[in-house]
Amino acid sequence: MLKFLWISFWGKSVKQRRSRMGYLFLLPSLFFVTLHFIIPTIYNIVLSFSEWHIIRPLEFVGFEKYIDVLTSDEFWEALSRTLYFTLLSVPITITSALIVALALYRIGPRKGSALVRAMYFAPVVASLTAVAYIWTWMFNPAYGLLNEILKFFYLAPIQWLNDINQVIPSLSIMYIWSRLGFDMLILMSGLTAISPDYYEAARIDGANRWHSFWNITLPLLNQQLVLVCVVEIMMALKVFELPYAATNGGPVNASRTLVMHIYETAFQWNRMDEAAVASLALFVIILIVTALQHFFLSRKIHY
Amino acid sequence: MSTVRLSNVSKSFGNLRVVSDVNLEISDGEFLVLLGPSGCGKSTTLRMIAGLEETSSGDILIDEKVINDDDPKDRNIAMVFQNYALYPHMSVRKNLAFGLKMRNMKTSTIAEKVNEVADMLQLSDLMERFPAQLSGGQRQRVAMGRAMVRTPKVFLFDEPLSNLDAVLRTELRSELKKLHMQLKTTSIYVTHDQVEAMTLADRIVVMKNGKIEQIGTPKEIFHNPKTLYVAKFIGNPQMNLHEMQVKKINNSIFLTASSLSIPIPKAVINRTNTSYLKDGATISMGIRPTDIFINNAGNKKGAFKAKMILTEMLGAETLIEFGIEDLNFKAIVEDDYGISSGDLFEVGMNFEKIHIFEDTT
Amino acid sequence: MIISFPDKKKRRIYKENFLYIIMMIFGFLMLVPLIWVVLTAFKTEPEIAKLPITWLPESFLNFDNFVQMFAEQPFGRYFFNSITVAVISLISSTAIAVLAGYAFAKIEFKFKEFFFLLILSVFMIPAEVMVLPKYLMMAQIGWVNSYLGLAFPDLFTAFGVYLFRQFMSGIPDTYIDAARIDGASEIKILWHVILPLIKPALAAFIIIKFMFSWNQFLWPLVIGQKQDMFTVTVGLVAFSGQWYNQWNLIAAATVLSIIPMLLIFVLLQKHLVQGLVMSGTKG
Repeated sequence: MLKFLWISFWGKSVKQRRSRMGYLFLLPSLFFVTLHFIIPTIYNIVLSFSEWHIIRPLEFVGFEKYIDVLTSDEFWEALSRTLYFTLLSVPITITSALIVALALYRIGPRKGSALVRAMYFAPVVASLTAVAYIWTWMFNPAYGLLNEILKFFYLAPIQWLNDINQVIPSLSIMYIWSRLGFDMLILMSGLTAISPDYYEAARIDGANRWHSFWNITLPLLNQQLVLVCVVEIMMALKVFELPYAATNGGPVNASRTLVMHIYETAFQWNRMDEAAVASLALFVIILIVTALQHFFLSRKIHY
Repeated sequence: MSTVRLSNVSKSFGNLRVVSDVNLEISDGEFLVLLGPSGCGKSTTLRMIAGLEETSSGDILIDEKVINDDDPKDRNIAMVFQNYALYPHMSVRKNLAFGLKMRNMKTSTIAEKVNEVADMLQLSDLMERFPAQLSGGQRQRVAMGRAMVRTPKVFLFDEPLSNLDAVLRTELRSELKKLHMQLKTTSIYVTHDQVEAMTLADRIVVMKNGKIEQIGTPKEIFHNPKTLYVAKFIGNPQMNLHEMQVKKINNSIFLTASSLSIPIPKAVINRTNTSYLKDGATISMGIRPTDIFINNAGNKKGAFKAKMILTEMLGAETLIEFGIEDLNFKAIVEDDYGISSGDLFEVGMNFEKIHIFEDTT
Repeated sequence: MIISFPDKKKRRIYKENFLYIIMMIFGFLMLVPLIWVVLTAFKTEPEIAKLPITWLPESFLNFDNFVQMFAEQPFGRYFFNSITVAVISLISSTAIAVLAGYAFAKIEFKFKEFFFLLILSVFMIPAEVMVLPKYLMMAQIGWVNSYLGLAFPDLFTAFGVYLFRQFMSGIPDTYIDAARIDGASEIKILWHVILPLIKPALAAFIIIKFMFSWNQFLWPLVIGQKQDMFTVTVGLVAFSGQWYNQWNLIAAATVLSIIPMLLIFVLLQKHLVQGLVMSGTKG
């Protein structure tokens, strides 16, 4: 390979000069891939096997930090909370996005339909920090809009973010609200790409709407569905802004997620080594999700 | 003014050899046409001359200087593409000026040259339009203008007329011819259309599977095709071709198939490679449809009994299809004398115009 | 059969109209939290504590909350920081991605597939995973509390490389051939021929990138530790922490932090949507 690069760089022919330009154009990207991913990954792994001190250099301690982290309740609680949040949020987000996408697709382009689509999509542009505050105010037990509505229907007020058991579902509501539009958009783009011929053919074959949905829409939407699943799972697994801004992990750590755990371990308790182990755990989980995506996408059916 | 020479040029893509050992010399001011079906390597040859593809081996010389390793921009050539490749985001004026601008020419000089070419090609009224707003013929003219404006040493044309409709193609073909007569720039033109090749070329290079089949003037190629392939490729309707046996009787040579026997005149033998005219050998006999006529003068000598299969009125001429024994022939005749299919009649052949090829179909 | 046909069609139209109204209602409900926060931003402290709730503020000209916000914390500075970081990362990531995209789409060289896969796999790894080692790297070269440090993870986006490669692959090679013969170098081809042809992708990328950059939180929180290096999102959190339960103020700050994105959303919705779809359909 080195010999080849050498020839490619110093060769004189048109083709060699052109491929030299190719490498040259690629160089900045490769530089940043190294700087953003390769070095940090190595650094992180090294860190996870070390004892970190603010001033002194790293000290190799083997699996000590792994044992520390993997035996700590805090880590497992943060992880299980994050998984709970993910399992709660992602299916609802995607199902409702699919319903909205199907409905908007059914309605078709007509006067004002772009505006209706924009309504569902608008929350996407707000940062998650802003989302956290918008909803904390909505959830406010005393003056919030939601309890006011409950009161209107003679229902008991809910403590929302202030209740250990309700805080994660409440964060899920925020998350679903802010992510629905994006998924809907992706699913819509998939729906509009499906040729109407398939539906016509199915109708002629005597399929009803339900059959069409299961046998045409869903299989042909496979790629977009897998995609939103992966994006949402990743977004949910790394959720940080919502609990950080809305509850600061409270009440009594009931909303302390994995990334929040990493953040606090590293930057508030200055235990970089343990945070590195936790980061690697997140990394591995995300790798698994990515691998699953490849598995599902490779089964992509070609029509 | 310039010459172009290709010396043992080959090109492979992986294991696929698309051009092999092409030797070619194009003299100054010549209009050379590379002719062949798609996939015969003619476009690749042109792109190698342009510098868009690299040669796998061999040398390309312009004015006897090897330019293998020169970038296209340093070869001082211009190229007209099949789909014109006009930059869609630039006006006609900017399209014409682009090549000059890239060579850091003075703005005033650029404007002058662009206007000059625009006048020549009647593009002056279209200068501010964008390619999408032009008709096919206009786009073609702009593409020509873009090549001309730089006054390059060599023009390269890659099927420039094949995206146009028939009428426009004929019109632009003659325009192109006039332009070449006026500019006298060395030109290499790639096409699969034999009529284009015939009308435009000083010399035609017929290519097949990456190899040169024959080089010659349009007349040579038409009247004296060297191979069966060239014979088949040139001429419309195609040359009549039949497998026949060589029979030597005394000093005369006959070609026979079933009971049909055709005497071969000396003139034909003289221009044919006689090494394969052995007694009993199987060869291909060819005769162009225009060299066959209906014999109604009662001249028995050299006439054959034929049975009409089909007559097609083409306008000034008639295309007839008929059988002699079990061999079918096509001929272009001025008059079918009212012979209709199934009728028996007599045909004559211009034996001097018979072609003999070693390989068989 | 023949008679029932128009009936069926009419029923379908009724159904679709009904569905449309339902979707409008739900769409409006999606907007309620946004509307609510905007309304709150114009209310006074006594107003937000009023029960039962009042919907509309007493005056839409009550900008006190915004005035107080700017008086308490340097939000102008936060905006300046966010914009600076966004601009730095936009310029850098666009330039780098365009170059690499062109190389991948239109230049032949060895190990192209390998390099592309490398960049694509990087695309899948969320930045959050790398925050810690990246922070330590920044600390070592002294980029903490600097604009370059803030922009660092955004200087390059693998998504851009992918997007531009996709777009440039769609440009016919003959344009490039023609430009090469016209005497343009690779850089000039890129500038004069390719870039004008990928304007839609450029617009979409720039908007999406701006949005991601503007909405970033964890990284600026970690790296911008001094108040004068806070970005808008970090500033919003800091401000809200300071004025806990002063919801009229927090609402005002929240609204202000969203305004640039809302403007982009309203003005450039087409490009934004296009960009998001492109960022999503990466498979």
